[in-house]
Amino acid sequence: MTQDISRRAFGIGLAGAAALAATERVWAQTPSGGVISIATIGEPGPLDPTVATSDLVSIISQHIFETLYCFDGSWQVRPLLAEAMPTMSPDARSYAIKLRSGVHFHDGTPMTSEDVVVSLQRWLKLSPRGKQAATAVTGVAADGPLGIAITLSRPYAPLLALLAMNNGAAAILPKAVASTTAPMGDPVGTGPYRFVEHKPDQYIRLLRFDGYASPPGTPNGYAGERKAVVGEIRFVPVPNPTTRVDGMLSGQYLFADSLPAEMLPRLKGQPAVEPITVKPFGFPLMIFNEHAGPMQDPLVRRAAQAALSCSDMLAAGFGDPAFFDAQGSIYSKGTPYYDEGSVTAYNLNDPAKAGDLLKQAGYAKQPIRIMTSQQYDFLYKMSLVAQQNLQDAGFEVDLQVLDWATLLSRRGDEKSWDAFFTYHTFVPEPSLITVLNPSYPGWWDTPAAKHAALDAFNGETDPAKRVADWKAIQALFYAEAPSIKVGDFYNLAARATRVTNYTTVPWPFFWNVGLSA
Amino acid sequence: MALFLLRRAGGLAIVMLLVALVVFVIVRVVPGDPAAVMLGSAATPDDVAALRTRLGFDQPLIVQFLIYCKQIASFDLGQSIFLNRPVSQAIAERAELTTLLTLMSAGLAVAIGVPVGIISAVRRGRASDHAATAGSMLFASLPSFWVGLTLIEVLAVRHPWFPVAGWGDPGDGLGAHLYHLVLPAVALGLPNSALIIRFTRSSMLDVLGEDYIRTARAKGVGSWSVVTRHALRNALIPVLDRDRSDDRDADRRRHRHRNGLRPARRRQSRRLGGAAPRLSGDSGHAAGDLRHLRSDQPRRRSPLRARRSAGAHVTEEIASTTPAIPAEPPEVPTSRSPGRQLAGRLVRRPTSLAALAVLILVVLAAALASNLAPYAPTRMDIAHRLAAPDGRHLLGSDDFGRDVLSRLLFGARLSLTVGTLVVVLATVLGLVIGLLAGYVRRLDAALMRFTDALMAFPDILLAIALMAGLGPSLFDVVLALGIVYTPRVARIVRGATLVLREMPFVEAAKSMGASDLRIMAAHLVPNLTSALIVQGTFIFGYAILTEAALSFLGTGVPPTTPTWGNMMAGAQQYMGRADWLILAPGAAIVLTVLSLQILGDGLRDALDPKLQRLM
Repeated sequence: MTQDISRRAFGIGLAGAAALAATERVWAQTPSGGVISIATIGEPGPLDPTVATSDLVSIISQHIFETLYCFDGSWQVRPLLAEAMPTMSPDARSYAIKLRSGVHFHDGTPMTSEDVVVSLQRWLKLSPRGKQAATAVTGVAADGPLGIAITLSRPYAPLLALLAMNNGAAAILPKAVASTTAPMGDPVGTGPYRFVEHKPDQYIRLLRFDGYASPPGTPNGYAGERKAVVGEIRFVPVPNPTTRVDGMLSGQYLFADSLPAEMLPRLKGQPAVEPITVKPFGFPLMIFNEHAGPMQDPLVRRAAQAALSCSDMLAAGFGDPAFFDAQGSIYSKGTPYYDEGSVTAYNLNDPAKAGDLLKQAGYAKQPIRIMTSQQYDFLYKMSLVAQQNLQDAGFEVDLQVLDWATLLSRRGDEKSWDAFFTYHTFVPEPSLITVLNPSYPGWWDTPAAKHAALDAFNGETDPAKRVADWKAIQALFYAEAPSIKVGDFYNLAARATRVTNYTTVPWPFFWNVGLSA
Repeated sequence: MALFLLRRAGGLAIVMLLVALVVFVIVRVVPGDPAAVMLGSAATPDDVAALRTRLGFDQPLIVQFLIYCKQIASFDLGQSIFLNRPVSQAIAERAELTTLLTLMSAGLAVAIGVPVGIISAVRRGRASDHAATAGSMLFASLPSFWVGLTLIEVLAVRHPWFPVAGWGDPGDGLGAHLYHLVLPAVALGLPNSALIIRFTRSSMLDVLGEDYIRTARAKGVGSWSVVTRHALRNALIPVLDRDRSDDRDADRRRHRHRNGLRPARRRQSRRLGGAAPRLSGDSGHAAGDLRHLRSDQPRRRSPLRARRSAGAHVTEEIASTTPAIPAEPPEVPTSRSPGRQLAGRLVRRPTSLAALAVLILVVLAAALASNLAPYAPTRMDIAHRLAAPDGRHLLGSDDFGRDVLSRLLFGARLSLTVGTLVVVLATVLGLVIGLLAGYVRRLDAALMRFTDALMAFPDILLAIALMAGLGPSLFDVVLALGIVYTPRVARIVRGATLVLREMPFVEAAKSMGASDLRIMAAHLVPNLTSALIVQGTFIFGYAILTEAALSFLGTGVPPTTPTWGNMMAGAQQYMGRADWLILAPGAAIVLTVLSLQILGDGLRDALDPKLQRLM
């Protein structure tokens, strides 16, 4: 609140002034193509694309690192560092992948199969996605300088999607970096931009990589040709969302991510700013504890399911109806796994029915401890509505507003909570959805039903049959009510109208993007 | 001299050890396993256990603390988990910006504070003085986060004259960097300038009453030249060095008494009216100023007075050579009780009365919230969210469709509760610690080093750290803020106790066989009351401001509770679209804190007998 202007501060001032005089300044190289400043939600933490699963690290690191595969505009897997789609053995237990030739790392060394093998092994060991794949992968080996062979213990359909993800990414690093266990230093990859400088709380600078070898083809989503048009990408941490909006309005930033939907009216009608609605983006979840407490009883969970007004929760969380869709299919409209038929108990807001279910369950007013956090404003707001809905139906609610980090650590302890709010970003591959993982807090794992259904889904490689298997899983999701899918929400981003050729994707990228005068 | 330096160095080492201990304890009590947070949601328990071993979390706490101390002693601050680089490097990287911002905001505060303070002292009692005082109180009552938001909105967005945020481009020169710091420096400097105005003013008034000033005037030196050449230099010393002046003053006084320089007029008094701390504006340094206890010169002397008749000079001569501690009892009929005298004096100050009236209104609103509020403060109406003020919602509705007026009324209840409890807690703890330190000399060093250690933390940082450890609840906010303000009360009480314990009436009580406990409870505490009342009034205001800042940062009272701070925090993203959301609680905070400051000032002056005599 109040600041010291004391001798103490003055002393620090003198010391700092001396430090300032001694500081060597990194002079800006002003590259052709200009500079694009992007207001991000904060400091990303270590830029290790394999370990980190945060959206912010993915957004930044995808310019520096590349994976073997990536997704196109309709979320189909396409080659990136690989030359083509892999050849699969008839029993679906081995994959042969051919690498593109002529790809170099930012340090000038050429990329070979050796780098790839070590990088994939690191991924299997360190990445949450890789660990998931490691249950099926038995070996990764080089087959000549540009060939890779992956062997599996059983057919495993999600493998390619996992390899294509840009968070917890199977990023290809130089062998020397990938083989050490030490934390990664300055990032070195094969991407169209190279890392130059990270000044914490100020910026991360990426410059065009002149030795970049692009995949061929028309740009489509993350796939196709990548061209570094803008000379420098500068990611500026701006944790306060209002400041991100203000900075867009004043022209200080050319792109800003994760803006509060409530602030759309301020962006609209500004000639120099173009609001961007990112869809699909994600879905909020209210997760129930199936290991301990009153929520163990499926009847109590179904009572909660019946009590909630998901549409009110979404309205409170996002305000403008343009930013959400109150629908219960886990996959949103227009994606391959969308299905309305298996959504059986969504947005009921029926306190009477909930009360009946509670009576059947013999619920004795044990308080339901719901954890939520203000770090995600919309989660906090929808938890307030949920609290009211549940109380109306006869639940006793203890709403705990926690720091996000506290929530994350507390949810691992089954004794300390009954429900919590989180959200899931859109993932192209259903098996990546956290709630399906039996070790994810909430611990949804009914062996006969869910386990069997998921195994069938993961072992199936025929896309059409997978869609049918997915419907069965979604039907179980509503019958057993392990969590509540509140609805779909979209992300608000904004770009200056000067920014041309921008492709709307959940994790914004800036290759192929230009700046008009 | 060598011994003195050695003792000071020893004290410093102890303070540093205590600071280290406080940091260590706070980090330990903060919930959340750093290993689990580092590894993220997908980590297995084995991964977490392995990382805990690597980081040494499996060692006993005392071993961890010793390792921690050893690393600090060898200037190894460790590796930042979040930034993935050495902490010392991370600090160095921020030093440039932090330094410039500190210098700029301090410079700005001085540039505004000193001239305004001087003018207000020289023109004491005139319109310009009143305006300066009012301005400084207003600045000190504004939540600085609100000032910041408003500056951005007006000077960066509506009129894009300044950057919204950031620190310039790589390769920018110093000028461009400074330009980026203008708005933050103003937001930080304004509340501080308020403080400096008031320090300069009172210090200047002190100096203007000195003999050499009178001599200069008598010799016909021009009045501005007197101010700039003679008065200013001496007046600025305590302004620049106000951090520790209370300690030194108290020690000096004590030594004087020890050396037998007893008050010329040994008048036993139970009142130490003068002990009302001149605790202007700032929670950060408020501890400091006890200079009015040093009554070896008359204070708050109008320069005009210095030119009065020779007869007056004689009286003043006597007064100024009299270390009048305790100050002479005010010259009022003895039949009136102290409380009535105080009331009488307050009544003569219309601004204090107005402030009191406002506070009574706020208290009434809080007490009658359930009767006055048109709606339940938590009742949502999603269909009518963000409704502008009208007949249905007198102050509009918020983003959940809740009635702003109702929340404001219930918020008053909570904000006042927080303020009251913090004052009670800080006063009681501070009184106990200060009394013990001042009276039981063996405990002095230990207790004061402890308060030093706590005061080494910036208020808001200490409060945030404590909140993280305690968890968000109304009670924990009170506890955290109470701890934050305790050292300030303790030091003031200690300073006053050091003086009081040498008083004849304490000596008399001792010689009559009174126990230490009785002396403290029956003789010292009543003499400290007025100081505590004034101090409490100011702490009340800061508690409300700091509570708002904590809520704004999301670490205060649980956000589901309608406090004024929580209302402002939630309203930020609706600025420019639903301004009433931030204006209503903001105005309530400013009005309440401003009234508390005016009342505190009035109380202080009313309790200051020398001022009475001069008026």
